[in-house]
Amino acid sequence: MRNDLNRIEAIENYIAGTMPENERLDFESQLKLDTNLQNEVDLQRQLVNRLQMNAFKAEMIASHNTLVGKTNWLWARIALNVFLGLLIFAGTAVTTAFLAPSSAISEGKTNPDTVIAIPVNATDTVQEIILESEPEQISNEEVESSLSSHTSGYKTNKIVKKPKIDLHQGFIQPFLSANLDATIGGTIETIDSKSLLHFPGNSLVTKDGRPVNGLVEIRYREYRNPGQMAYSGIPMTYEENGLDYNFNSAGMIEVRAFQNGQELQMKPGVAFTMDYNVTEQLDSCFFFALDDSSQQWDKKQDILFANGAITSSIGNDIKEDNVNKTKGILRGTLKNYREKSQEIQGVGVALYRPRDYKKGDMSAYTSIERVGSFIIEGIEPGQYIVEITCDGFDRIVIDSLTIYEGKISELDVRFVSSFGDTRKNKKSNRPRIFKRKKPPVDNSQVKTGYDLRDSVGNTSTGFLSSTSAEIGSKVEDDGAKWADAQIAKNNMVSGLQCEGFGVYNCDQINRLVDPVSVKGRYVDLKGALVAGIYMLTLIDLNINASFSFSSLDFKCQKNGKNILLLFTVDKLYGISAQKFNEMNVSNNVNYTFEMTDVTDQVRNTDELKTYLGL
Amino acid sequence: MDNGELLLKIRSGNNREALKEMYKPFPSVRHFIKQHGGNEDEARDVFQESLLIFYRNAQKPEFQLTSALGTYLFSICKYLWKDELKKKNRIVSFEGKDMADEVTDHREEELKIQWLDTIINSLGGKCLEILQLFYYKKMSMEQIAAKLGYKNVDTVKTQKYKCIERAKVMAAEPIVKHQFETL
Repeated sequence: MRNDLNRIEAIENYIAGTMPENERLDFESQLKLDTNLQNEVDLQRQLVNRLQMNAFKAEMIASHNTLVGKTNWLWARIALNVFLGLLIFAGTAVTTAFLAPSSAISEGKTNPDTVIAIPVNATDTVQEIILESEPEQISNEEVESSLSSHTSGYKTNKIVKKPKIDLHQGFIQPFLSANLDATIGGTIETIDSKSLLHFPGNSLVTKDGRPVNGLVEIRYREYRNPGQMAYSGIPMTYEENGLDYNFNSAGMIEVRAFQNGQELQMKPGVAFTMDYNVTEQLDSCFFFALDDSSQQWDKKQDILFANGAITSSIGNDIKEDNVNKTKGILRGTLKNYREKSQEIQGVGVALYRPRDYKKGDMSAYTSIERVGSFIIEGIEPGQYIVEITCDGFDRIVIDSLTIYEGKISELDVRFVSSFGDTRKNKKSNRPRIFKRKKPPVDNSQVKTGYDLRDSVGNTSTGFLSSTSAEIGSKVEDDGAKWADAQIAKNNMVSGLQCEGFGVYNCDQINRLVDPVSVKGRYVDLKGALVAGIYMLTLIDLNINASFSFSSLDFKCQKNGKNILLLFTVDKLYGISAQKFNEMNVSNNVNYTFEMTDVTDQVRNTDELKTYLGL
Repeated sequence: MDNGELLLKIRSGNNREALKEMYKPFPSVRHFIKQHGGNEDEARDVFQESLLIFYRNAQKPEFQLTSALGTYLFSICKYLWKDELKKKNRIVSFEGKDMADEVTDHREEELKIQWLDTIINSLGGKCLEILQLFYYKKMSMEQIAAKLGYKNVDTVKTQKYKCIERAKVMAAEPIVKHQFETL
């Protein structure tokens, strides 16, 4: 085997022209005499050519729309928007004329139970246009008139059916698309998050299982902030072991595939993979897939941000490894940093042996160096960067980091990372926090018995695999800038397996803190009942999610920064976090929310993002 | 971006940037093809074939782009479109530079090695990823090891050679050979 591999290496060097002169002459002499070798060289050259051509072709096809379509798409979009605007204007005018009473509903003069109807012709016409621009728009579930009055004695709002015509087009995330050759597959880089979708060749089939060849269209849309999620109707709750959790999203994406207008699916047993660029490195983050039919989330895998190498190495056969040197840069912000301390004087790295450590098993263990105790220009107070070099080991876990400021006055320890860990036990790769028996430096002010679990941070601590020496040198020039760039790079979660098309989400899941169930009644600033509601959305600014409710009751965190949005058939109402907070809502109590009409101020996801102050 | 920079980008695996540059002549090619009986899809196909020809040539160390990229691609596209019109027995109302050598070489090579797709596609995702990162993205072994989470360079290097070895073994299998011979 080794000889075969050496032979391949020699051929590769010969083809690439990197073979030393004397070796090349020998090789060529041998080549003249050995027809098998000639065939091997030819085959290897052809293989490399084909790999390159296929990859280039795939990238070219995938990029075509982006590289060519921008101008056309822009003009088409403008034209479409103008056309749509005219149609909607016309449709609204017709609607108003058709249903004269509806115009008065918002003024509270007529029966709020009235269900708004849309003239059939106008609906059909406009929907047809919408379908051209948003062919695979996933419709929000139609909301039924499920709510009866909460209380007797005064009028309350009613949920109406969502009209087929969507008057809130600006809140629907548009699908973007790219083409692929189904036979050779390819990679698509998404425009918004720069995430990568990798499709293997021959991985797509029709809905009835027939193989697909030729060009296919991959459509995707991303949800990165609550403004984009608000109107999606995608559930942001998760149930596990009988407990309900709310999502705090690090980014969500929907991916579909089509050929000639027909939706495709992944070949059974074959997955496309995604390298997803998360919005934020959240602790205890998971990768979820949404079941299209049940609308339930399925937890697919853990996401560990500390070092992409950790996740990727799980399950890999690396028995042949003999790691000689691993270098890493560690950077983070102290959770409990006190303003009066202006500098971090040093960094101590505490190293722990794995639980399954056996004497002699890791003889090189103690050769790990501590490279700390230095100050780097350009980092903010409370931030630290440390370079660690570890030599000659293949199993190690670094469990904690201790920061001290001249004299230790406070310990702040959080997960650092494991790296170079060859164990396949996934659990062993999880961040681990230990309770230390004593601090690493003798100092009277150190709280002995300090439970480090209490100080598990909420910061972007990460252990970054350093790829080259020159990166290290940049740290000295502008440590913070460099580290930020590295942290940003590390937001890419690689190799997420997607077994089918649909919605995927990288999320932290949280139990609601101090939850309250609220029964709502909604009036405008004049006190008139808001009519024609078909969706209630709650956004807690503390988390990256948006929650839609199919009734006018909702659940939220009592002390959250809650903003309510009401989508009606022709308006959008909102209540600010401050106003909501002033109401000091309690559990199972009826409240009347005074909503502001923000229809003219908030017309699309970007404006909603601004309105939310994101 | 001058020709030298463009070739450097391609040869160093910065294909995304290179593609942006390579696509600049597309509007004029599309205009030309539409003016001469073609449609949008045909313009795309012709233009993309010219890019494949250019990309293949660009991989050769001895290749030099002596004219402007736009001129070069336009010449190939004209030739390809002329050829296409002839196949359809349609009147060709324009003249173009003879790019027969470039086009024929490319097409013959395509035919010659397209049988390898079967083998490449059956190598498995991990192999394909390593090989593409190395040969297409021109990433170093260190970069690939870091990206894919291999513990050191030797591992990924060995893995890469094993993948090539596997492809070669598969190429020697009778069923694959048979497919090759029938082409």
